[in-house]
Amino acid sequence: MSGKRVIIFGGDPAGVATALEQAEAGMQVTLIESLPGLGGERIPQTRIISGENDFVDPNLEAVMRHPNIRVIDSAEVQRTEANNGNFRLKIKRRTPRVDREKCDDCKACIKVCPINMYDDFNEGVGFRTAIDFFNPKTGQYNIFKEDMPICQATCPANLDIRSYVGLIADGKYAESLAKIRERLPFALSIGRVCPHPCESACNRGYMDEPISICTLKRFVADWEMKEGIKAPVEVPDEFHKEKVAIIGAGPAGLTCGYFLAKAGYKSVCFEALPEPGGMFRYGIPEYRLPTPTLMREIDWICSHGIELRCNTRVGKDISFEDIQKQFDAVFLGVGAHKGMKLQIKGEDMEGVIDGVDFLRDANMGNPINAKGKVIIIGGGNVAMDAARVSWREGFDEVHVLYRRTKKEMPASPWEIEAAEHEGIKFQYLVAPIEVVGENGRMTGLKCLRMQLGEPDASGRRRPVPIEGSEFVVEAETLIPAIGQRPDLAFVPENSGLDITRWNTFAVNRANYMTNVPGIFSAGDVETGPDIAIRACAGGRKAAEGIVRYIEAKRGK
Amino acid sequence: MTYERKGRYIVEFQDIPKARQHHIEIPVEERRNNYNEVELGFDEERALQEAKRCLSCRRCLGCALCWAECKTEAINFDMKDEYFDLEADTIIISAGVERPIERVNPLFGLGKNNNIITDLQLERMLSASGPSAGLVIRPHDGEIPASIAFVQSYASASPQMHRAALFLGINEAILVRRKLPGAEISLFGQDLAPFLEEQKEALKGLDRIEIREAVVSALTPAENQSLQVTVESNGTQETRTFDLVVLLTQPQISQDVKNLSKKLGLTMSYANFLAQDVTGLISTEKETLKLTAVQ
Repeated sequence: MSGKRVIIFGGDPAGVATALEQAEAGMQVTLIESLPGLGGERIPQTRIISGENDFVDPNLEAVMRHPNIRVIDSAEVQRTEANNGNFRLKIKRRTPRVDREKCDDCKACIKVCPINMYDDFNEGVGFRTAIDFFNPKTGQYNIFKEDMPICQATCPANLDIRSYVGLIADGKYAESLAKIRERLPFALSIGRVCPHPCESACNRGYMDEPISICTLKRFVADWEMKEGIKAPVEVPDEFHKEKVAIIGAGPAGLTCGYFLAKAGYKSVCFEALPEPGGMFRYGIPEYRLPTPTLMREIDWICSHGIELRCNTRVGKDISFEDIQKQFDAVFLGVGAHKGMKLQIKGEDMEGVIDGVDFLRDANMGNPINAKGKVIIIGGGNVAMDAARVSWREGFDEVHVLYRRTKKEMPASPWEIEAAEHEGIKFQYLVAPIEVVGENGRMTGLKCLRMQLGEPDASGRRRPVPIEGSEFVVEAETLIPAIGQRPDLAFVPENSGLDITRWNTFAVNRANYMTNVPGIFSAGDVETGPDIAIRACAGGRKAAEGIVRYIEAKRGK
Repeated sequence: MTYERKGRYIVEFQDIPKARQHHIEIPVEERRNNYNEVELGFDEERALQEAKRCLSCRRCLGCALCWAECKTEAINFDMKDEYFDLEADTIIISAGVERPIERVNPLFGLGKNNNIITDLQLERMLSASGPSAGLVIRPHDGEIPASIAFVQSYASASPQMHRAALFLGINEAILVRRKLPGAEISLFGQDLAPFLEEQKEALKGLDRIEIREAVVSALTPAENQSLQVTVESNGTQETRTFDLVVLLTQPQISQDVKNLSKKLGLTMSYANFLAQDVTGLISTEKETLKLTAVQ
């Protein structure tokens, strides 16, 4: 016997036939299959059937019994390496949770299993139970258990969506809301503004349309508000003596404070602006998230044990060093509020206002000179917000200029649709090259037409200028909304904090601590501009990291 | 090959509400010059309807009913994943193909209209050990179909893959004919001539199965949950009604094989998959790819 070792991937008829052939030739065969068993009968796809042999039936019994064949099912390859004339592989076999040696195929388990899942062993024809056998001839029982359904795994905060949606279906709204608040305090706000990546992943989408998860979350939160129920505040009877400073009262900071309070730690939250909420308050327009709704939620969160100090800009009203001295740990969640520049001529003229600043002014109720025509540059959600706010402010015409086409726009499709619905005009494949004006006041924007070229690093087709296509759009106001960056002016030079080339803090994702012990960070200032729920998720994980850090320090 | 893979089509959920609920919103004319909230969410009725649509992504919840029932104590929830370190002189990959439903022309309404299934689903139905014990039935109402149309659901595929799809479709038609001797069976596909010429001998015994070079331009629900099939061939158009429509899906080299080959440091497309001639790679007539490590 030569004893050469052969690994065969694929338990389909071709793989099984090859395994038998190799084993007969004296090879040591390992047959690897990713499903929980070897395939059953298949219809041949290489010849027209005739007579008796309609289905290919790989002789499974022979494979299972052959002394030279080892079968590994439910397998996935973890690592491969090829050298010195052989391969080395690391294979993971997912547990079936059934000892197949002991199983006597009585099927009693199938009779009692209450779960009906679509029958993925049979291409979704009918249902099977969560415990089932893969192949009726060889048994191969298997319990299909996963840690997380796809919606939960996709949610940045890993909300237990299956449970809270199920509780709504049962009419148990309070329990549903409690389930959400186990991982997220902002049910009212997130339920309104989240672009819900969970819905894009929802398995129901393969059948017709995904579950409206976000609006369901909003429904239970609204239900509590409308019914006038006082939301429960559950904190320990006694708080620990250590205190945490939170810089920035946005989604990340307040979520962090909420989970710190639940773990028994009080915090003081410093906010530069007059009111708490961060981008919830000053970035998201009122028609998407009304301030009274947001404030109800923030009041409830702060009542857990967060002391708010608004109008306190760190680095001006209080120094960063003082905070470091006075508190046992510091959380930095200052967000990304600095709009990116277009880097074109005339950008400093009167009439040009950055998207984030414009939204902040509108949200603060500051007067806006809404006359004539406004141009918004950009294709993201901030651009859509700025456009829809401009329309509400009373500009005669609102135009959005985007350098690619509608297909490439990063904004949520429903926001684009709503903007179109409200009468906002979109011009695609146009890029600005110069702000033109008189006496320091803009009168128009010189643009260039673009066409789409090869895909770039982001996978989207790169816009390429069409030469000689310059034209001027007359407008009184220009709102660039092409991205934001964190403003880290408050960080003293000698802080020693690691700052990335995107002007964000670098943290260890295991505990969200920066390179300086005791200083933690999450939210847009750590991830760069991202969706609110990711900031909330970071805030929660940072709170866990802070608790571990303080406990370790106390233990010394 | 992996059973967590997404993109499965779910046949029937009659007990679950169908359409997605839409939130309530205020009309556009009430939005100008004010900041009133635009979206108003769900009322209770809509919320309940929507929540009931959730499939709960049904998986084992760990209720342990099976564990309590199992006399031989074979069920063990604490069983852990196993890891194997293997060494091999040769690796053979069976050229698994998959037929992703994303490639099915969305106009055909797979998953939306009743009584449209894929060729793989029909294969499971035809299998004696399958979910219907070898019986061909309409998934919607369990009726035996009196007329069945096989419809090519993709615009084009590589010649080998197109051939594989036609073999599967015609073989299924032959098996359906054996089980339902009275049924009307038609197959509509494109670029059939080379295939029919090549398989002339084998196809001689075809028993009343219509194989027609045609494009199906529309599939619409008809009375009694049947389907109206609009067929275009040779510049003429006709509409026929079938009880069950089977979509011939586009086979392609499976993602698992691609991932595996990537892990093994190979770059492969289907074209060079069956005819590898790089050092260390040998193709065989058995649709497998054999690799031996190169020094």
